[in-house]
Amino acid sequence: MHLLDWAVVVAYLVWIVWDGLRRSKATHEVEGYFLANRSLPWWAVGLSVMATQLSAITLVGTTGRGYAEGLSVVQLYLGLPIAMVILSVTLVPFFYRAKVFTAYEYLERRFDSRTRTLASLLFLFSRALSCGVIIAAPAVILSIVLGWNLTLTILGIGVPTVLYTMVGGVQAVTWTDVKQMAVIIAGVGAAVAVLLFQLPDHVSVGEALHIAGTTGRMQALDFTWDPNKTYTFWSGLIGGLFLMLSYFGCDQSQVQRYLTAKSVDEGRQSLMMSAYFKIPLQFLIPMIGVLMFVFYLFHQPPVLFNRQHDAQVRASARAGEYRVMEQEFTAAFEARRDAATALAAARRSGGAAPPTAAETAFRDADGRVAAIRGRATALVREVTGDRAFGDVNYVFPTFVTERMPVGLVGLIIAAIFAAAMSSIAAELNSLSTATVIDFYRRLWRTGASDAHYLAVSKLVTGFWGLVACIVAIYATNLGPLIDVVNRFGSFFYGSLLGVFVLAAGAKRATSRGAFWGLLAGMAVVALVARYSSMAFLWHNVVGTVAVVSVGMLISLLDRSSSPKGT
Amino acid sequence: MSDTPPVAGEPVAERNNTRLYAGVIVVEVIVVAGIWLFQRYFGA
Repeated sequence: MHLLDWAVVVAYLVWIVWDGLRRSKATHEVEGYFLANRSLPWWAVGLSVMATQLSAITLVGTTGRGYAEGLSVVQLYLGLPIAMVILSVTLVPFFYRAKVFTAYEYLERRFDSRTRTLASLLFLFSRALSCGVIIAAPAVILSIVLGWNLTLTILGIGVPTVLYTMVGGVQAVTWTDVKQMAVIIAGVGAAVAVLLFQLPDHVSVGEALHIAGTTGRMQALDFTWDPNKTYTFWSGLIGGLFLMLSYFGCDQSQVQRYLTAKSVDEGRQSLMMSAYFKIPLQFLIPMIGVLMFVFYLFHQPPVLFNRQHDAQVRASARAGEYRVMEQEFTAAFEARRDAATALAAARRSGGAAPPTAAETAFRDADGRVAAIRGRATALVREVTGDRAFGDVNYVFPTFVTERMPVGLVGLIIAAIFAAAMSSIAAELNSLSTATVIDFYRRLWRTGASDAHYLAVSKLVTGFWGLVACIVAIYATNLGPLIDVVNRFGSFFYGSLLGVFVLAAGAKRATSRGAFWGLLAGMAVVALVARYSSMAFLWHNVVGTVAVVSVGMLISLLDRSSSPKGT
Repeated sequence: MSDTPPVAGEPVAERNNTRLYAGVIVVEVIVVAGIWLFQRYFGA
């Protein structure tokens, strides 16, 4: 990286850590440390909510998905605005008025200690793992693309975050999130601007989008009813609704965000910010990938974007085969470039009629390029033994480091750091909250002073930060670990939502019903995941329905437990 | 930090947010319609 880019990244890190550390002045009690004494304005909380949800995996992975497949991933968020309205009417005022620190405190009041403990334990386990993955994923990618030492990259992301979160608490988390969201938006904007400016002179923006559309990449909405398809309008609207209800309503890392707001109405307004802006933002991020696809139609891309695996193949016994593929790739790229140019020219001169012949020629040429990349990917899997290998996560970082102007490279690397750090900070703070409030204060050391609990809270934050960094360092095989985290998340989210539905919506639900319903829900989702090809978004619906059904059945059969009042 | 559980359901003066929520749904419909038109124009 150029010296200027290093300066930008270092300046960002120093600025964020300094800003986070100075927030410790406002943190003298546990309520201040975890909930900012419920004093934060809605716009800061709203930006923190968005920053917490937008991790580096989203920034790097979604752009890569846009490059490879197009805009369909935007459908994941279709249920979000509706979820925000439902939460604003139901759980937000409820949690706020109950003056809880954690969402799971409510479960003990409604059901029993066992249910609260189980829910909080599931949260701790899933968040600790995901925190490690959120650090590891961008660290692996940046270390490969930039040649950085992996462990140092992980520590470069994790240590500053742990430091300011541990010292500054939720005030540090929120106010650094505000700044990090600004850096992310600036980075996304810069990427879009550079991509648009770097289009060839003979291809307009409209023509570029039409060319991408020829390959199906502009197909953002898919209205087919197919529960096995990952992203459709229906899976996003319905499955996504359940996912977002659970994530924003039952996951402590998000619940704690709006509990810091000045009032119930400001808590609601903070969620409305995501409701308005999330879909447009999540449309723009894969659009970067689509624009990168167009960019690489006219500027030759590498055969493989993962340079480490590229080097391994070149050093292997099959290097000769790979060199032949590279020559074929160059020829196929040139043919596709010429076909893309011809398509753009045909659109300009053809008027309203679509240039069918030119479109067909371009699609055929693109298919040949894709086929060679497919063979190269298969070769990598055979040579390296990495059967999960795919390089879409490396497309955006490769484009940034090789094609963007000096200075803006640093800005986007900083944006990737910001996306990771903003998510990690919120998660660490919420892990500490759940640990201290749901376990330490309740089960280990009751009746201690506030100063004692404050000191323990900071130590516990540091502890979870250490755990996350260790998980990240040992997450060498990212593919399966991300799968484990995502699968556990899908067991957890839908089922947890089901427990809260029982708690808030079913007066006859009993403690025993809630507890065993939660376990049953997770078991049902595990079976569905194992024995069906149902897309993961639907698992949230399955989990919720299973918990509510089994929970109500047990509750009705259970004559010995009487339901506690809400 | 008090050990006494706070009282849930204390009356709090809150705004009527019906228009806010309706606005969210209307904006989502407009955004999704816009995306649909976008893909119709630029799609295959």
